[in-house]
Amino acid sequence: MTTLTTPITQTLDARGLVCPMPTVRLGQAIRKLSLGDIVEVWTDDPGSQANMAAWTKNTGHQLVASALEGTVYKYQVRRMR
Amino acid sequence: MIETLTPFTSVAESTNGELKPRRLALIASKGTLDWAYPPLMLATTAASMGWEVGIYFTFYGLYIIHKAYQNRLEVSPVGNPAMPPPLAALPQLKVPNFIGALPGMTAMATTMMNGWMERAHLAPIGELLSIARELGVKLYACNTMIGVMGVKPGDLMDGVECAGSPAFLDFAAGADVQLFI
Repeated sequence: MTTLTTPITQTLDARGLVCPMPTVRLGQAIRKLSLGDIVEVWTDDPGSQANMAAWTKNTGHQLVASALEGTVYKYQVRRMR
Repeated sequence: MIETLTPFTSVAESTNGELKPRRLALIASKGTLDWAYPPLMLATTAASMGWEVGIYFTFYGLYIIHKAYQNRLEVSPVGNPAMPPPLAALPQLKVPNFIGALPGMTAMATTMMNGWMERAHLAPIGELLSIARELGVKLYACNTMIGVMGVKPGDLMDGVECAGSPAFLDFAAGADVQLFI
């Protein structure tokens, strides 16, 4: 978990969604961004840390920063390809 | 409205050192509500990660892509001892299996399961299929079972490709993950 400082392009509020919907929605959202743009995902899925690590490893997109605020995990992902 | 998407692929290094996209090949063979979710959840997840995904719908699985049935799939409590009690507050009140066979029990179990999915904000089957198509998942309908079960190609949703098992096996042979569901 790091500090969220990077300016973001879009926020994706996936709170209340169960796995796999946060990553599926992220996959849909990131395809609409330009290279280098950052989407910030909000989720309360407790398994999201492992899921986001696997998702970014598979897609090649970059997990720029993440934070836990209360019960909400926030992940900043940059489109790389 | 589906916006223009710029796809990306997930790459895995194959044995000869070449880069190729990861691929998931699924066979969806069952047409009940509970069995329709797993292939679609896995497919949309993999596609969201940039994998190439194909689902081969065969036997009752054809009803998942059948326009008249896909949003009316049901689950039966009969023969399923894992079906939870209807009242969460009374976990000891399990429904005896023979009662599950009474008229109306399938509808009740279906309503209950749809309620779980709704509360979890999991997309209904039809919406998961739309997401799958948007993310480029290939939907193959088994053309033998279309004939055997009397399904007309026009009964199936748009974007479905009729294919035989040789064509699907050719796709699956190049897959990193293959599952029969």
